[in-house]
Amino acid sequence: MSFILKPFSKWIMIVISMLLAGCLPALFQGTALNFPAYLNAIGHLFLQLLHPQRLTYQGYGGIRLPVFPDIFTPYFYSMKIFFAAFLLSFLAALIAMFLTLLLPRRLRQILSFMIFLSESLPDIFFMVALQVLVITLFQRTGFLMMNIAEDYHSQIYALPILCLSVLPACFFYRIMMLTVNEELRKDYSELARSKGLTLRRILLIHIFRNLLIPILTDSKTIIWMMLSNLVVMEFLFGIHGLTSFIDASPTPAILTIGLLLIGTPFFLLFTLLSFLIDHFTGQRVVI
Amino acid sequence: MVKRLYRQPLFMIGFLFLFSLVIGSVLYRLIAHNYLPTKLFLYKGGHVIAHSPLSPLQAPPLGTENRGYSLGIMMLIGAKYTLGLTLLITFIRMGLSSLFGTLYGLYFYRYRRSVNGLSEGFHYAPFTLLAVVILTPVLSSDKFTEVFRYTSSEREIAEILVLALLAVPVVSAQVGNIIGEISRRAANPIHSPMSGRDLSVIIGKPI
Repeated sequence: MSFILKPFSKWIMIVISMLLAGCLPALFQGTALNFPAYLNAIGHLFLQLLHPQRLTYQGYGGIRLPVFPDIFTPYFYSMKIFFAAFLLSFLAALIAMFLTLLLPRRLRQILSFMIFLSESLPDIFFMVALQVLVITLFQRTGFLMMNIAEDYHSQIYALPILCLSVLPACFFYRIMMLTVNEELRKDYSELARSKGLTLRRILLIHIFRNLLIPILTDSKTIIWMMLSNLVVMEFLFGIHGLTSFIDASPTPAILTIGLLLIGTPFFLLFTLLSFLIDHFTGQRVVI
Repeated sequence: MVKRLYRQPLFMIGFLFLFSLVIGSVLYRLIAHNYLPTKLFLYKGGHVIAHSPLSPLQAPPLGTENRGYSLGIMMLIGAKYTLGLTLLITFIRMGLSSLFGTLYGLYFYRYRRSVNGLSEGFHYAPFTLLAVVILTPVLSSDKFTEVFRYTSSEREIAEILVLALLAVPVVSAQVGNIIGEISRRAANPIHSPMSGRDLSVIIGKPI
């Protein structure tokens, strides 16, 4: 029973913290802090969330429209981009890590310099530079590589996913390199090497498994950073996603519902993954 | 440690770039008093051949924007504010978070389930969005009269504090978790599934 109760109590705590975070706009009245208004807003929000079908947002021309189910189209759009970028950055970092460890020294230096370069450039730079690149290519040759903004008929995926995954890929790469170097110094991999196992085999079979826990622990921080970048990206590409939906009518209720919609899938995913890791490696992960 | 940093070429490239940008920005203020050159039209033989926005080739170094102001000089003037604010925000954020995180990791680590649960909501809150929602009423001017509600120093302080403090819950929980895990491992070394790694690379990154 405890394997249901424990995650559930954790989820309740997450909901409470999201209420606290979602009401933050009510705390700031200009530059002054208004704590009674904050507490009021939390109480009011709690009552509002009990009747989600009555929630409204400000549509075009100031009309009040019900939040459900209108929020789901932007929500799923944002989440598709977000999950795709998350997976892409993870895979790219994984490939880069294996390449770094297995390539000859000269190529390795080039690779690490490229990663350093892409890490130090701000992601806004990437987004705008890629947009300019696509436009210039289209003007010169008439070849439209990919769409650079959302229009009425079609949603765009390729460019946003690419832009969103650059920075997280660098961070994943760093975490992986740090952990792998630590694992390579441990007794078991030295024993494996002394017995004549190849580096590739040690990496793929023995070390890769132990990488999962640090990655899982740190991916929460990476998600936190990616969510901030998602806001900027939706603005720059004109995407009507979840964060632009929240930004259009930033009431505590809509903000909190947005946070819940973002957080719950990740919570479920992390809970599932920690169960799996517990099952396969016998190590406990605190998430 | 400083000596080892000197020998890192990648570190020196980045550091010298940012440092020269700040120094150049300050010097430009002292020498040229933030003079902002404008070039609205490009003349050739008495005729207008192009108008702003001009490309970097027509108006070096970086071209002009649509009101004719030189973009390169605008960036040089603004660099000291942007980089200075980034440094200041990072210092406040990391200082407070290290303080709270150390306290939590050393003395309150047994309540880690509650602390992690309660900081979780901030993890899934888009940081930029919260900052925009909170700061828009403070920083924006009136739509019709273009009068600001707050003085410029009030606006700057509010911006610095909000951007620094919004990240404190998440970062202190991270710092505290690392410290708590390390000190627990030091107390009984047999249970050491986790390893305390240098996470400053991630959480120190200003957003």
